Amino acid sequence: MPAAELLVFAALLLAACLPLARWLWTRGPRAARRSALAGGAVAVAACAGLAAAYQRSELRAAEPPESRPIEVRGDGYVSSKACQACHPDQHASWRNSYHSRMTQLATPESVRAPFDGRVVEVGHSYKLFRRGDELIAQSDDPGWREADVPEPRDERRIVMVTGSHHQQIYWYEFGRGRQLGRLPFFYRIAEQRFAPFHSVFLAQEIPVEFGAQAIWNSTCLRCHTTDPRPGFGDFTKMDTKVAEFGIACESCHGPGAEHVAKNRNPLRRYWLHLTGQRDDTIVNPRRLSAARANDVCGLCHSVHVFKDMQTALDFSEHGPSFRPGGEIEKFWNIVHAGDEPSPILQRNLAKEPHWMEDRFWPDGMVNVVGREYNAVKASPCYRGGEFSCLSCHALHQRANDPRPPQEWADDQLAAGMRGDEACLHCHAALGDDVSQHTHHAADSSGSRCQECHMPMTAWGLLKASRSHQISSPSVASELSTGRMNACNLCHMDRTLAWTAEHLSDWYGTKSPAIADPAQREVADGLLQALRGDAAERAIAAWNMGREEVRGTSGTDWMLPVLSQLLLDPYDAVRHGAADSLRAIPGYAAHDLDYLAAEPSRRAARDAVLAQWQAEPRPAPARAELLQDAQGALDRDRFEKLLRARDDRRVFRGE
Amino acid sequence: MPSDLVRRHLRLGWWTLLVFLTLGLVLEALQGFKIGFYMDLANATRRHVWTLAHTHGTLLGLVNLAFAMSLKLFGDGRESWAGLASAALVGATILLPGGFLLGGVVVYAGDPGLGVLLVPVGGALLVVAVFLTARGFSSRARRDGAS
Repeated sequence: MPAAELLVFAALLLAACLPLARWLWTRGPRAARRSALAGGAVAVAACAGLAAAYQRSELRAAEPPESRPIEVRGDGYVSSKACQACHPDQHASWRNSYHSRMTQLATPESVRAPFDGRVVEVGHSYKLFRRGDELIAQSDDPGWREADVPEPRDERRIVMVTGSHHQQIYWYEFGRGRQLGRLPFFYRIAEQRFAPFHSVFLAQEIPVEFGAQAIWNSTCLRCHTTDPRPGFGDFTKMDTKVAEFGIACESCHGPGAEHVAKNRNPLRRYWLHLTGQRDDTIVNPRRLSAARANDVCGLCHSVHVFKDMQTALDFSEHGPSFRPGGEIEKFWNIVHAGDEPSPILQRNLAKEPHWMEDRFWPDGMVNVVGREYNAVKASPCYRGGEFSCLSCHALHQRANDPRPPQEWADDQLAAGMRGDEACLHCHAALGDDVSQHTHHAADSSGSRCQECHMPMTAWGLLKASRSHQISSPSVASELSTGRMNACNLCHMDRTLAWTAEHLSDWYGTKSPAIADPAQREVADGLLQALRGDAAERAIAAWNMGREEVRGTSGTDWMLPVLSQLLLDPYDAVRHGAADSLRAIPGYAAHDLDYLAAEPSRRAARDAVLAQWQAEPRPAPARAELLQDAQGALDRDRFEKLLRARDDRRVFRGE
Repeated sequence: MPSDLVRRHLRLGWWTLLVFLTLGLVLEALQGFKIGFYMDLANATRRHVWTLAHTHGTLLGLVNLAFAMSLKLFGDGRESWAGLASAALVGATILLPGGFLLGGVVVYAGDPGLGVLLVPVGGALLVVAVFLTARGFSSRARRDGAS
């Protein structure tokens, strides 16, 4: 309570008590007068003492912590709290979005993992528990007690959380200023389990750039906070500050200080309301050109490196120079496969030679989720000049949108944009007789625009997601890149030759020469899952769990290959295989733990196979599904494909 | 004249009470049936100003009755200030809740419609009416005390 407020409080109390005191003084008995005087003095002293203590505690609480990043307004940023009063519905829909909770302070409410004393074993032991409202990790990790680690100790306070939807990462005070350290595991929210860091990525080893120390202060904060300022200084005592944790209003609308100040004037507000003029003190991405609107999203949703070293140094001290409405390429160098690498990208490539293939398919299409800016710009739709992220996505749920907020928040798609409407908005003529275009029944998944033109080939968060580069199914692309074509992603039980023939018959697409006999004779889903590289195996295994795929391709042939993938060296592949097995009726009861020790997983595979072998095989037998004349699995061909597995190193830099 | 004023404010007070208590029922119904036009977060401003219309209207109805009863019980027929106070109170009774009500018909994000501009005018009239009444009865009390 500020001093002025205290003064007014005391004055009001005094004014209210005066008539009573006057009455007592003039009319009350002598003893009562003395008691009233003494009581009054005691009450005044008590009030003064309480007020002083209260003020001291307020001052203490107001001091920002020194051991973690903090929120500091500045550079014209005022935080989402300033927006709420005038834009309550937009503020509420933002709060409902996962953007708002991307970075949170660690509290018993924000942390989804059970900190109940359980021990997580990931390389070392980590005991997670609560001490009051504090969340603590205790570890036998010798790295926590090495001499060069600031404040060596076996207990660390968890102070920050990344994620709120799929999974969470927990960050602890590192002791070097506001630098954070990362616990070496994720908490997978839907699965209610911890998973080692590398298990959640499509990876066997995590590249150095994803290291545990200072990664939040240097990298995560760029996209998971608003107006981040890493404050590296001399690297011994980081002073990381942000305008707001999470991706808040000002990430997309720009700094709001001028907007707030100018719109305190009601005359200005009513002038804007009544004339419909745009308010130039704030950015509304919907009123930007498609290119500039995309740039707002591209700040985070792109494959990028700093434009140059000076930009990187400026960012460290002052935060991003990019503001919504500006050109992103003045801040980032947006990386396009095939372009001459910039000096900073060359430095990255020297440290991480696989940096490009970790993010792009060989033909330059983005292969990870969260980098859709590159994909959208590479799409033919973008060339029209009006196609932007906001063509399909709505960052605020409209009041008349009947969907539950959680459903909208899942992909932040505008109402109706999950289906064909997203495309028919421009391609209306195709909607008149969709079957004529698709050669599939109008109500089947084969007639859904996104199934063919945005197939599930991007990887991230342990699942495949839609590629945002609008494309048409192409066998030739699969032959040159390994990326499964949209037809076979649904018709997984068919060969590439079958697909090439249909594309030729229906669309006149020139059939490419398919030199590899296996690609002519074996179903593409089997080939990708058994013989592909880890990304191809993961995408094939995950897609087998889709209802559309199971309905189109059947599931009987999937069981031997999915059970085999429980032994895959990549945790992410095993995760997808286990999920897809669970989706097949009758197989969910098996112990399909993708992180279990190898003997347990081998036992699970054998149990699945035993159940499958005991069931009758659907007729007729099909050679392209590696079945012999009786419908049994042709072991020799199966093993031969398995031995040909592409074991090159794979990582997806999501 | 005072008896005319008393009748005017008794009529106005009771009818105002009826109108704005009924508005209260309407608002409760809008709330009860979760009508989006009133309940959606985007319409928070409408909800706010209409609630203010209900409370101010009801309160002003009571003020009108109190004004009438004061004149009836304590007036002596010589209150020269009462005519102006009455006119100001009538204006306030119309403009204050009416402005809030009108301001909620069209809203602009966090701002009510232009009708809300009537509110400060009504507020000023109410201040004038209360000031004149307070001063009038104070003078009367001093006169009574002196005699």
